[in-house]
Amino acid sequence: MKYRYLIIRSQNPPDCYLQMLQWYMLAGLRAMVHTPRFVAIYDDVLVVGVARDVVRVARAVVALMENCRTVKVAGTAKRAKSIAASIRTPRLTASRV
Amino acid sequence: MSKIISVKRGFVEWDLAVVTPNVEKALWEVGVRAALMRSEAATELLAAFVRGVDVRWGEAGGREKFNKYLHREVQLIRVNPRVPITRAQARAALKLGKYVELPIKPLLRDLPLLATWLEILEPEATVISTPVEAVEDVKSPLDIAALLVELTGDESWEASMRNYLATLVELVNEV
Repeated sequence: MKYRYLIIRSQNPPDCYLQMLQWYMLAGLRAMVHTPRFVAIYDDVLVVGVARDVVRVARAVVALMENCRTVKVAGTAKRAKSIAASIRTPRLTASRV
Repeated sequence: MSKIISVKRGFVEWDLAVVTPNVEKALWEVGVRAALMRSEAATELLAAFVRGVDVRWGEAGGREKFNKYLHREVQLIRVNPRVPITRAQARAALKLGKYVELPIKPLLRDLPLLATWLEILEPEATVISTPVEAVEDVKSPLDIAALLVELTGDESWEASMRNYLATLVELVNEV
C-alpha cells in the first residue's frame, strides 16, 4: 500500500497526533490494516503518513481538530521531512524530540 | 452578458476579522490568496476586499430575515449556523443568483447539524467561511473540502471551494 505524508502545522503537534489516532478508526477497516505512520515532529510541524486511499478521511479528521491544519502533502517520508524542516518555526525554548 | 473568468489557483477566506502578519502567513500557507474582510485593513500578502464596500451582504439570523434578503439588493447572505434554512430557501437563493455564506467554525463541533446544512445547501450557491479571528482559527480549505465530501459523498463541494476566487471576482465585479 502506498502512503502519502501529511505535513500538519499545529501549536501542539503531539496532541494533534493523538487526536488523529483517536479519529482514525472513522476511516474504516482498511485504515486499521494500514495504520498511520508517525514520521517526525519539528517544533510546530507534524509529519504523519497515511495510506493513500484514506488521505481524504485523514484530512477530514484534521479539519475537525482544533488548531491543526494540513499545509502540504508529500509522496515520500524523506521529502515530507525536508519540507517540514524547512517550514518549521523554531521556538526559543523548544526541546527537540 | 457573460463574463469569462479564468483563475487557476487559490482559495478565499470569506470572513477575515483580524489581519496580522502571522494570520496572513498562515492563510497563505494553506493556499488562501484572497479574503473578504469585516473592515478595512492593510494586507501584505492577500488580495483584500471589504464586506459592505466590495460585496453587498446581509446577515440573516433566522428564516424570515433570510426571505427578506432574498428580495433585496444583496449578493451574499450570511446565515446563522445554528438555525438551518429550508431547502426551498436554498434553491431560491440559487435561482436569484445569491450566495449563502455558512460560517463553519461552530459546526465542526456539531457534525449532525453540519450534515443537515449540507443536505439543504446548493454547493454552487454556497460559500463556506471560517471565520478567522486569530491565527488558531485558520483552517486548510482542502481539509474542510475533504470533510464536506466525506460527509456528503458529493465532490461538487470541493469543486465549488476550488472556484472561490472566481466567485469572489464575480461578486466584486457586479458592485
